[in-house]
Amino acid sequence: MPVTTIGKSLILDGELQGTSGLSIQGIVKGKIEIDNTITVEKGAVIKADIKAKDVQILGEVKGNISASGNVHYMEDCTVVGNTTTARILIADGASIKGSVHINI
Amino acid sequence: MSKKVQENITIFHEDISFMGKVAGDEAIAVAGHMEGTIQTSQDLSIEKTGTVKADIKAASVTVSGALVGNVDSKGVVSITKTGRMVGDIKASRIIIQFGAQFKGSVITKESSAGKNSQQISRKPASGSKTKR
Amino acid sequence: MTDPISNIEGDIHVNGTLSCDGDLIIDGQLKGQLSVKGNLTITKIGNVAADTEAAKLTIAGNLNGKIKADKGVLIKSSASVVGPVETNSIVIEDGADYSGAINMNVELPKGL
Repeated sequence: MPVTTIGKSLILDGELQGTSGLSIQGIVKGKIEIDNTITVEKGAVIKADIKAKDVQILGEVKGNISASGNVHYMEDCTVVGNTTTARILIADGASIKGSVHINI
Repeated sequence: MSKKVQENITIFHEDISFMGKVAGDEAIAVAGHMEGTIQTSQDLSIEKTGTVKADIKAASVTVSGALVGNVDSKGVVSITKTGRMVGDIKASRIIIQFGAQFKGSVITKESSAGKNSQQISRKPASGSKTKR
Repeated sequence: MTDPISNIEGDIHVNGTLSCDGDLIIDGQLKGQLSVKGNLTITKIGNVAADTEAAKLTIAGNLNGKIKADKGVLIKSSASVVGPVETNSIVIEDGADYSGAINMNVELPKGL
């Protein structure tokens, strides 16, 4: 199943769920639960708790992140919230405010 | 601004579901499940696999899946042969294809004076047969 | 042998019900009640203000009334129709004017 890309002009306020990949360019408020990879693109704003397999963050996230796989905090991303994951990668320039729990 | 530039489209694929409000300025296609309200200044399409329970406001709406909700459009609302809809439609044009299922009311915002110049209330001149 | 097709041209005002066992084509004006056992066609210049019942209904002109068609309704692009319509199948062509309720059986998937 192809990746669903939430375009940059879209504002979602509610619960987003699914089993195929998700890429967010716009604004999502509420709750996100995806049994796959989530990419928060540069310019995207997430005000929601995120639950996923892998999370790649290039934009802004205000919420807690729970990943069974990897969380990559890319350059210039902004995260305010707690992360629980199996593996992390933090790029130079990433901004994280909150705790990060790595569960092996 | 009558020229429609359809550059961007967000496709909610089949195994993505969303419950809440969607608002935006790009074309949207729903192939999965959606509940709530959907509003876009561009076109909206409910794909064959789409199941939507929402009030919709869009430049045009094409229903090829299932929709329960009201549609308000300045443009054309089409229910295609695989489309099923329960709800009211306000649009400037409406197209229902053979095979479509629809239950609700329709208001087309075009002049309700009727297309033919003859009206029952306005009787034509006696004996005139204005065959085109 | 098929039923003969009746034809209405001109200006008819029916004070009661006009019933027809076969097919009917309306090419003129009609006001009243219509009950057609066969197929009813209102041509492009047809102009009908009547509660209408027919098997299959094809409208290319004007129709205003309570409409019931068991075998389907076709509203052509040149038509202007004010319902309500009760039917099992409806086609509305692009360009047609339709206002009113449409009552049809809709099979919705589970979850809606």
